[in-house]
Amino acid sequence: MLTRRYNVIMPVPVLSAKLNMPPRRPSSIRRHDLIARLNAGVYHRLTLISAPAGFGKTTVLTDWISELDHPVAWLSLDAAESDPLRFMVYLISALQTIQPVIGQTVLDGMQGSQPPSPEALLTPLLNDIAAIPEKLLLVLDDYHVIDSGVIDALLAALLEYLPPQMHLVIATREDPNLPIARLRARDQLTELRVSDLRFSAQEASDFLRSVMGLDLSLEEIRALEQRTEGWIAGLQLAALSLQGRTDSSEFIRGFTGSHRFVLDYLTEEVLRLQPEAIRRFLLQTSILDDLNASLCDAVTGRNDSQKMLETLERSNLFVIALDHDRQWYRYHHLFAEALRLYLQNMQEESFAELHLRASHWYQGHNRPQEAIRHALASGNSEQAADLIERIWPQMDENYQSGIWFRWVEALPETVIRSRPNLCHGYARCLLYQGDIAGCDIWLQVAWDWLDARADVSGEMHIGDEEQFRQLPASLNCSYAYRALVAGDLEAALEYARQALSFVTEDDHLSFTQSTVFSAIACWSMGELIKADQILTDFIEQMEAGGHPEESYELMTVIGDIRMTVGQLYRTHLAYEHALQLISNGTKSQAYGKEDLYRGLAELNREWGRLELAEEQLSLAEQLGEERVNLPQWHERLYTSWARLKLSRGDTSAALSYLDKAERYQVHSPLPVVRPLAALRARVRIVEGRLDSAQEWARQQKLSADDDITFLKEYSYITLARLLIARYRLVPSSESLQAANRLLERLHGAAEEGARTGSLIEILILRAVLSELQGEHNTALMALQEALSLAEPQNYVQLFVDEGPIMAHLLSEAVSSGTVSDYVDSLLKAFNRPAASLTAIQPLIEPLSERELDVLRLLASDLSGPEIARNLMISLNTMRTHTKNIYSKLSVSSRLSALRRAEELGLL
Amino acid sequence: MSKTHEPCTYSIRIKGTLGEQWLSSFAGMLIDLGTDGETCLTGSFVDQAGLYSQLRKIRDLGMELISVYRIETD
Repeated sequence: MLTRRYNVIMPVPVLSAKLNMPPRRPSSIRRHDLIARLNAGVYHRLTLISAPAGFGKTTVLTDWISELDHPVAWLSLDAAESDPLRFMVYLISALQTIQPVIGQTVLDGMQGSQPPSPEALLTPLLNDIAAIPEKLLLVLDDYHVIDSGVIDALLAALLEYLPPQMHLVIATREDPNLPIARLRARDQLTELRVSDLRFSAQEASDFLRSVMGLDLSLEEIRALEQRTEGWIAGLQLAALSLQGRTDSSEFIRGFTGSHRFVLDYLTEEVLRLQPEAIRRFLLQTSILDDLNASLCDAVTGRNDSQKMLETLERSNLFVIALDHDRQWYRYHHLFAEALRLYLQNMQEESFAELHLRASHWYQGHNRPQEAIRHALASGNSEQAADLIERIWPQMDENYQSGIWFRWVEALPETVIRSRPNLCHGYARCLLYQGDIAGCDIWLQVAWDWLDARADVSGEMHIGDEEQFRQLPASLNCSYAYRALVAGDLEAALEYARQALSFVTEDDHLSFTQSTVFSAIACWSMGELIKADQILTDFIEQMEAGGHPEESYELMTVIGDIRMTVGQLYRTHLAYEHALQLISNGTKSQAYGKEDLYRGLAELNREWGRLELAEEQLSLAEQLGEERVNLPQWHERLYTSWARLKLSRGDTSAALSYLDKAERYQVHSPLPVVRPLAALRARVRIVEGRLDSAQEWARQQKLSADDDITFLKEYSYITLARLLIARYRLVPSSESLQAANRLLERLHGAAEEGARTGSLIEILILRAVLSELQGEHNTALMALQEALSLAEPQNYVQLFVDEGPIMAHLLSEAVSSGTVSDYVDSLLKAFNRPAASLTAIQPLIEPLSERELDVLRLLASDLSGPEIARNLMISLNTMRTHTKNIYSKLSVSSRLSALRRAEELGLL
Repeated sequence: MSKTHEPCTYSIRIKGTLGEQWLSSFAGMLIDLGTDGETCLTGSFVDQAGLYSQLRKIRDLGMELISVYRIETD
């Protein structure tokens, strides 16, 4: 719910029909030579079948492939696949019919809001393919519909790096923009072109005589072959025309003597020959893309369409079966085009009426998309608009707002304007696409319809009464969402409140949305208790109402809020409770347990149970792989791994998980409380790479004297850590004061916001800083305060993450009289092997001011003696300084000293 | 000479003559049925994309394209 509606990228639903190879034609000429060439060509990279419509490309392909031993991935392309990402999804889906895991990581990686470039997706895909042990084929049918330079480039790259076991087949009506000449020159190409595909004299003869059963003389056959120039579609139509006749020579004379375009002439002939019933049937059903008996009955008003279709197929009247049980058929597109042209000129049937009947049938068979298509084709905008209106909630919920958007755009603007439901849906689509200005315009139009005072011209149309009743609430929700996107939190809160005031009993959607938006707004403003309250109430309500699953998505969101406030046990209870409900639940969950286990792992990490956390995170990862995930899943998972690895001291693993998390980043209205860049900076600090962390601070324009807002708290705490690390290196009063100032303000802000979790961390840092200053007592006092806050919730890792200095402080606390089981257990935690690597200090001993002076001059090209002279010290003194510098930096040469110094940000 | 990317008139020749029904495929164009077994379609296109769209329709109907001429208008 939360992420489904607000994800910017629309996932692509895959129509499995496009991945199925069409079944073989019942009677077709076997093209031995062509098939032999195709078989031989399997060892090349590419087979290209390039010829205009009607030359039997698909027929020869299906004949060939149905006898092939190798696994074949088939993809029938449509114009919609000209979108490169959609193309990739379909390409991978086709390959997955051979092996389910090919390219799965690529598909997963496409879920983020910044999907990687198609080229970047190619390498992992190729790797997956290269791992397949046997030869495989990928067939792209109707490539000419693809109109995209990006896809052309993609395929060119695919061909360049094609693994040897893969063979690509492209069928098209025009030569693709691929390096064909180069492949030809390197003998990596098999080509079937018009000259290959057109029927030879022998084939024409076999076809006319054996397949169509015509009794023709050799001359007659030659005449037909010449007139049609071997065009298979033409020969088929000619044969059909001849089948009904007694006097073939007259027909042939007329045909060869005419200049008329073959398809034109012959379609007319064929139609004229058919009995009235069949002719009407053909013309009426020509408006359909796919035909089945029931649909044809509805459109034609007959009840014997099944027989009709079977007869047509048997007679070779261009009806092609789409599946093996002969439920669905299709006309060969040339024939359908020609039929439609005749239909338009028929007075009796109205084009529009037929489309409406088709639309009606599809409506009744729960195929709203086709229903809408036909309604639009009928030209009846109001009818289409009604359907489009009604289907909006369902398509929004299923990520299909992109398709819906295109339908709305097919309507006249006046029609859209007159329908508040459409205006609202349209506005939402624009918002999803990031077009805030456009969204505002259409929200206003919808709003004006509801506002009695607004001066609206024209009549209002409502296609969906229920949607309209809920419009006051849903419209306010949209305004709230829009405000969130624009960062206007106060407005978001206000609109959410308004929405709630309008919400009706049965309107779960708006209730959920407005609640969640309020919570998000509060959270973003730092009002965590309030946000927690809102969400807790919501969860209880959902449970009480019998649909707890509506709230599962929010569990870790609440958990995050509560952990910041310092309520670890309450969070744990909530997670366990939700897991229990899921296990007991009978409804199939759209939302699984993986995020809850991830949440538990975070809790256990906080409690210092690192091994348990790791087990739970692994389990979460595994559970996540078994289902389709919410878009945010991978980002969350890898972030949790990164934090766990950091607590383990494994900084390089932490960094590589952060890389992954960044790749899967998803846009959502949830506030980014812990930016990945800040987490990365923390890892760098632990590594001792202060230069990187410094760079981060610079890029974020963070300074110690800035105002602290809740959303930036994590980043500023990170900055404080950086300042402390620098102070450790170079104990200057400047960094000390900056760190102190910052920590004090962080302290105040966290206290004011009642963020106990953050407060504990801040107090720990204050303790560490005081200790580094030598202010032992102040350090102990801060530590005591931290301990008193931390003990009730049993925080462990926050202390352990600070390393030896914290261990030292804790033992001091014990020896100065603190008696506590809690502190004892904390101390024990430091002794675990996992803990010993954390918080690596960059230097065992900091450099003195003099040593720093020498170091800075070492960075110049002055010689030793020159440096000594510059600093007004003796050469011996300088050499001692240098020796100490090297020792402290753990290096043995000037060059490596300078390199290390740069890493530490000393220069 | 006319500027680039402005509306233009083109004359498209295809092989074979067309029956009346086919006129609606080429709505808005003048159809000249020659006696030499060729048809000449003349029409004005808003831009190049419009022209290519028409050419594609011709391709998809399986017709053979013979020539495409731009007709200069003053």
